Amino acid sequence: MRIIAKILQSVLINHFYKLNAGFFIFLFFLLFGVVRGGQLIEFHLGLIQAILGGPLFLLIIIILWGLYTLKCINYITKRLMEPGLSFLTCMNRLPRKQVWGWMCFVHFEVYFPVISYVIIIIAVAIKAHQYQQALIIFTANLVFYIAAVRIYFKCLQLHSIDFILLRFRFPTIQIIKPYFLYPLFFIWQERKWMLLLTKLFTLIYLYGFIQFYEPYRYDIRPMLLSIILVIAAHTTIIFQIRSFETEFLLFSRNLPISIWKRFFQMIGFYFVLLLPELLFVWKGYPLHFNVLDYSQIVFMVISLPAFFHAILYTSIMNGDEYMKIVFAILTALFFLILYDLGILLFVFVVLLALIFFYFHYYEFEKSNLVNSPKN
Amino acid sequence: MLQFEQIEKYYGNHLALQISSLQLEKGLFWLKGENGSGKTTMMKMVAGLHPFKGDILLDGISIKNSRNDFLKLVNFAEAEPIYPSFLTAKDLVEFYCSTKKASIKESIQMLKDLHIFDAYQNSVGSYSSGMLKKLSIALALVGNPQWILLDEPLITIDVAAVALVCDWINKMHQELGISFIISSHQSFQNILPFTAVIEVQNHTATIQDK
Repeated sequence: MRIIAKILQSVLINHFYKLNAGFFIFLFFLLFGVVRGGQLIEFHLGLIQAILGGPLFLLIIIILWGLYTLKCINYITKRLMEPGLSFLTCMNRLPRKQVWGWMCFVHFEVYFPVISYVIIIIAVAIKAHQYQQALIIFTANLVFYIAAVRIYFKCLQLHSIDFILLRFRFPTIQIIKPYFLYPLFFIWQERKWMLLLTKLFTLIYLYGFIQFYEPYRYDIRPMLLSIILVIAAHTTIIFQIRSFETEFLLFSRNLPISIWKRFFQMIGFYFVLLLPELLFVWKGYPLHFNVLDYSQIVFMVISLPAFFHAILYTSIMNGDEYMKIVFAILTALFFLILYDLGILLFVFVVLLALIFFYFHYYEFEKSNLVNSPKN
Repeated sequence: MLQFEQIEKYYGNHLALQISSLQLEKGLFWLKGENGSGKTTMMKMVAGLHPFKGDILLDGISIKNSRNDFLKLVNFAEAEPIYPSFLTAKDLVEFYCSTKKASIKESIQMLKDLHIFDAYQNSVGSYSSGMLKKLSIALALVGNPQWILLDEPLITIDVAAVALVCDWINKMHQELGISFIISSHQSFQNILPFTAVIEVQNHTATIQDK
């Protein structure tokens, strides 16, 4: 029994958290990093009371939990269908109840961030005698939970995902595909839930920041710090893009495209990827930034992802190290932004990205990504 | 002339290939060797896919110093081609032709001759391995290369396509003066008039007479 738990833990659960590390860093910052230490409990109590206080807010939160469930379903079913994990179908020899139990275990582990917060919300609701809200929250999560476990179970049993009506058939894009946007098509095709959820969370976060943060004097830095969180939420996507490039775009190295062109294509790609956020922040104009300072935001939005992308060409890089280094860089940037170095900081980051790219692009080989979350 | 100078290729600590000096005049070369001997590695180095120590020069143009000019003259088809599944043959043909300054019309004609043009607008994810192989060969023949490297070009494709590809290789070599390095475990010396055989063994490559 312990061996099954160990295998499921290593091939499904740990992989899930590695793959979504950027997303969880973003959530962690959002829930625990934006409030001063002393006000943390008050902040969360206020948040929970807001959830319990109005049906609209409660509905939004339930929808977000539903989306997270879809993210889990999408990941687990895709993973179960990977040829390398086909050995897991041997679990079908176990009694049905046991397989159900193991799938419950898997979902419990990937759904744990929600479960832990839900328990606190229900406890607060019961203490405040808001039994109806507690029941709604409990029932909604129970339905999500059972639905997810049932889908995993079916997927494992049939070794197919065709039965899932929720197989989210997004339209296939039939348009001209410029080379620099290949990663975007890949993300849309293969990681669409990751992309959509990242966008949803970052836009909600930016909306919240612009709507509720009222500076007492003009200062660009809070906006830049917010953008750091937006980039943090995209780091997993960046890693996925590098893995895709290594796996599927190797053929393009045989084509006569200059290193400069390749670099600016990468910059162009990240500009397009983060265009929704770049446009959305205009909602905060002129309270949070002026036209001149917008250039700082643009430079930051293209320089940081380009830098994170470029460091993945170095020979020591793998998934775990990447997340540690990204976290360290974001923390350092957090303090550098407080020093208000202006656009120079991001020009420097672009230059660093260029140096890494120039010297490592052609030197990189696939074997360096052996420990990546996708592999 | 294709020159290999002080080539060393390691995978981790494992020496895969070491060529202190090798010169290939224009011609049709059959690249032979056991599985894992380094044939694909050698081709991928020339095609710019693998980093290595040393240098490779084509008529004096170094892959290290003038990569773009070098790659304009070298085309490559992998043994097991991998393309993003969402791309169509049309996307790939247009991309290759724009970078290699080649004629799309000619590429389309090749796909028609190989009987895969019906799937021109389909994503390559829906292609069989034979269709994918045919597409990769057609892409390796576009533009104005001086050298074309084909890694196991005859596996997975049907008999008619084998004859057609060999015919193209012959014509391109004789009429346009394009040189080929073709790796294969199958003997097809009777079909193609090879200039010489390149034998890869004991982590190095040597030219042998036919």
